[in-house]
Amino acid sequence: MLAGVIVTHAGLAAALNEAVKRVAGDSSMLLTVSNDGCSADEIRARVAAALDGGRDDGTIVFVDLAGGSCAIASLLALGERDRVRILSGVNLAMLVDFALRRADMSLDAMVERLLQRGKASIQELKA
Amino acid sequence: MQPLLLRVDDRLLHAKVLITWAAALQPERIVLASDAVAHDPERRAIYGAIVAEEAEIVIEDVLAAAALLQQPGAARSMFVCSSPADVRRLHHAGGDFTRVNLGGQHPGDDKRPLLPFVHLSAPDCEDLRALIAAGVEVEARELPGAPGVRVSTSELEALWT
Repeated sequence: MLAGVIVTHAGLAAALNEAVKRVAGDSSMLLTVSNDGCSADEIRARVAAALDGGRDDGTIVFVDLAGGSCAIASLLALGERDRVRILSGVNLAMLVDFALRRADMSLDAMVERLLQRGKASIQELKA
Repeated sequence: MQPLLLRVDDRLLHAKVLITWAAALQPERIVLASDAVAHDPERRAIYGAIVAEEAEIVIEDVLAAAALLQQPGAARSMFVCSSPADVRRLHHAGGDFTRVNLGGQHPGDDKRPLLPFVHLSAPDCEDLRALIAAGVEVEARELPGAPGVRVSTSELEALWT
């Protein structure tokens, strides 16, 4: 089964985790990391610690901004780890989909699906 | 030559620099001046893959960045260092600047808080005092819309006596 780690600025990861719990019923598969008050090395250490609790089947790291400290720290934290993928632009649609489908999908298939689901959830609802 | 911004930030390139400061100053280049990044292939590849909206990202070690500071393009560039020590080295190497922006300096075992977003070690204070003595103005300002705080030698001496 796949594991997930949300890495964001401020309290966004914890808030997203709580929202996943409300919508999907369970968010215990998602670890959260905040960059609050952290140097670059400290964020990297926090992400590495979260990845150490990952699953053999694979882990997906969800970050907020592609060029942000969370994304860079996640890339630096990967080290020799394989079966870890990093996606930026995390949103609730991606996380709920991950929570509901992670048990029966491969890492590659899940990444492809989440990229599609995340982008598809951004729409203009009223012109 | 004085760049648009010469920032000390221990996160180097990140959202506040790449998005918020870049939106305010609209640099043509953002120069990451760091031996640790420039000389480490893995870190260089990661930082080198960052895409800024309008600016070119340039990664150089401190000596090479000092040379860039002497070129006319510096006036349209932002420079980022991780520590006051690297800014002092930039100055020693001929980097021609008169203002430094003190940005994110996070807490550490060897650091004391000067401001909520500026934590300095004793060597950091010594480096900043040397820059001020050389005529460089040090201003702490986290974001472009926030008020700046001029950092004085006496404040630095009071932090680590």
